[in-house]
Amino acid sequence: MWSRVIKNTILGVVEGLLYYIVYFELLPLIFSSALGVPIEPPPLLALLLLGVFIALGVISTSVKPFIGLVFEALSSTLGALILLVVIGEKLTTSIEYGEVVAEISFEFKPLLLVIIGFSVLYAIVRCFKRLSQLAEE
Amino acid sequence: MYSGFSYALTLASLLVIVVLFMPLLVFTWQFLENPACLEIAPGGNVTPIGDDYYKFNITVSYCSSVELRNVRIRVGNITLEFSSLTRGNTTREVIARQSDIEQAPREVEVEASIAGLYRVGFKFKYESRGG
Repeated sequence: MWSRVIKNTILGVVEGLLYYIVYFELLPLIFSSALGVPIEPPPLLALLLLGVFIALGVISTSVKPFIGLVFEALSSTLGALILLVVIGEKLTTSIEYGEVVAEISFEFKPLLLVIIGFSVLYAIVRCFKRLSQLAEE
Repeated sequence: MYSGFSYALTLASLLVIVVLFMPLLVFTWQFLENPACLEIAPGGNVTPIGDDYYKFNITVSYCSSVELRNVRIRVGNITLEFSSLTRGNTTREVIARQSDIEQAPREVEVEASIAGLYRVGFKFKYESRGG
């Protein structure tokens, strides 16, 4: 029994870490480095979200599979919310050349909405996949 | 069945995201490579019309291969609007009051959307110009 609890906890931590890395680290990093716009979310928020993602991951793997699906969907929703909060705002950078200072501000909403739409679709497909696995068992 | 569907979904999402990301990426890279990619300069002769009004040209030079749409340029009290801006020079005739052209503006503001998708705003501040 204990081995199952430890296995589920480890799986949950890994799942939570994956969600955190993809939504809070990887996607903002891709945007930031590709577009040369600094994205610096507050470190306290990072810690808080890491904890929430891991908690959701551990709960989703530890409880009954049907209830676990709800927590998995919650992780995806939280990820989408993070993207909207961290990158969805107007991002500003400035370039200096000669005697000119150029302040540039971007909005990425259309691309973000597409990413969020696909991640929601992906979460739905994962839910159906798990439901069909449960039905087979 | 669901595995195949999730692979197809991943592939489709990557494709769509890359296609949508491309104009933004190309525009930013070209702009960072050449910060003077978008320049607004007066040109041609200043012709007086009436007592207080003058006619002259404003030329917008733009270097990126990504089209800018719904462009609004504000130079002092003068506002110019273009439905789209492509690579090259675009000249527009402007009529302005004498007081508007006596001093070179210290700030030029540009609002546009990159390929009609992403809103972008520029504020060019000219340090050496008096005001």
